[in-house]
Amino acid sequence: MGRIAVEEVVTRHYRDVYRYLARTTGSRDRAEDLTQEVFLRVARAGRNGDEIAHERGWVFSIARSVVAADRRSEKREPARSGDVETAAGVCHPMVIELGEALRGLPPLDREMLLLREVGGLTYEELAIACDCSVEAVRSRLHRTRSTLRKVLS
Amino acid sequence: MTDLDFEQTISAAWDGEPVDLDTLRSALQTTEGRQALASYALIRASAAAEDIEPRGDLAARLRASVATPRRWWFVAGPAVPARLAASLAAVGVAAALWLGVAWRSQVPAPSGAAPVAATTAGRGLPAGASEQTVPTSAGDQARGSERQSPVGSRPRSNVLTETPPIPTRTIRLVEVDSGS
Repeated sequence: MGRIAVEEVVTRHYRDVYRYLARTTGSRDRAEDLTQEVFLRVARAGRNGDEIAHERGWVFSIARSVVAADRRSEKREPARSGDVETAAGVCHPMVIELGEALRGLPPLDREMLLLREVGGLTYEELAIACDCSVEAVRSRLHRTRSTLRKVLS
Repeated sequence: MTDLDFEQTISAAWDGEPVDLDTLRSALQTTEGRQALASYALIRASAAAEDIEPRGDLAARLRASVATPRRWWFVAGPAVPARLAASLAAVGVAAALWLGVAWRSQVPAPSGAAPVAATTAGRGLPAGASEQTVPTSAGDQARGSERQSPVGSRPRSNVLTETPPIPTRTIRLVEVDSGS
């Protein structure tokens, strides 16, 4: 995509980044702070004139590193699905069940599934965000889903 | 084809990735494959069930935080600031040289002997004449007043004593003994 236009990047991705961060941290306020941090880093890269090939994957790789840094600094546990206050205020039991199942997954599997299901990343974007091959993404997602199937059934 | 291959194909197809259509067809003809597809749909629906929407002003706040005004040197590129810095340095050197020349022309040239004014036009003094020097500059006057202060008393504070030494001019007063 060449040099980045930061405000356009914000417009395109802030909603998905926020959702991913809210699901990961379990807090709307925290998610807002971290979303801001993500796009400040994007802006910094924009000022440096960095060339970005796969914008969405790159933005989410920043989001992942922001979450990791936040966990390191605060020693936070990954949030359960259903911890985030929803508009309805009540979570469906299946959502809570899914959250519990996600907590039992290895961190990378959990992140990859959230990036796929909540962030809507393609396999190529996931490969960039998680710094692995497309084949690794394909097999890891399949494995994660199989695990969740067994747990949820 | 194994069940594992079938499930992986269904998983990829569910994510909208390109898959082999024959494999997908075969996978969906099995009970296991259809159950897998149903599970994936439930997982996605559960993940999306939480209505996590950002607050209305988040986008505006994000845009405001990243929209720092662009500095002109970012727009102009690196060449312009370098040229400007070189020009400023050249102007600075020229100004320093000019100031140095102007200052030198205003400062009197140092001389070994102080200029002397004599009351007599002639070079020599008449016989019997005594010579007395009187201070003519502020520095000399200040030094004279210090000499006149009583012993042990604190010298009077005089701003003039703190001034840097000024080249003095000495006037030689000549008393001519009229009797001789």
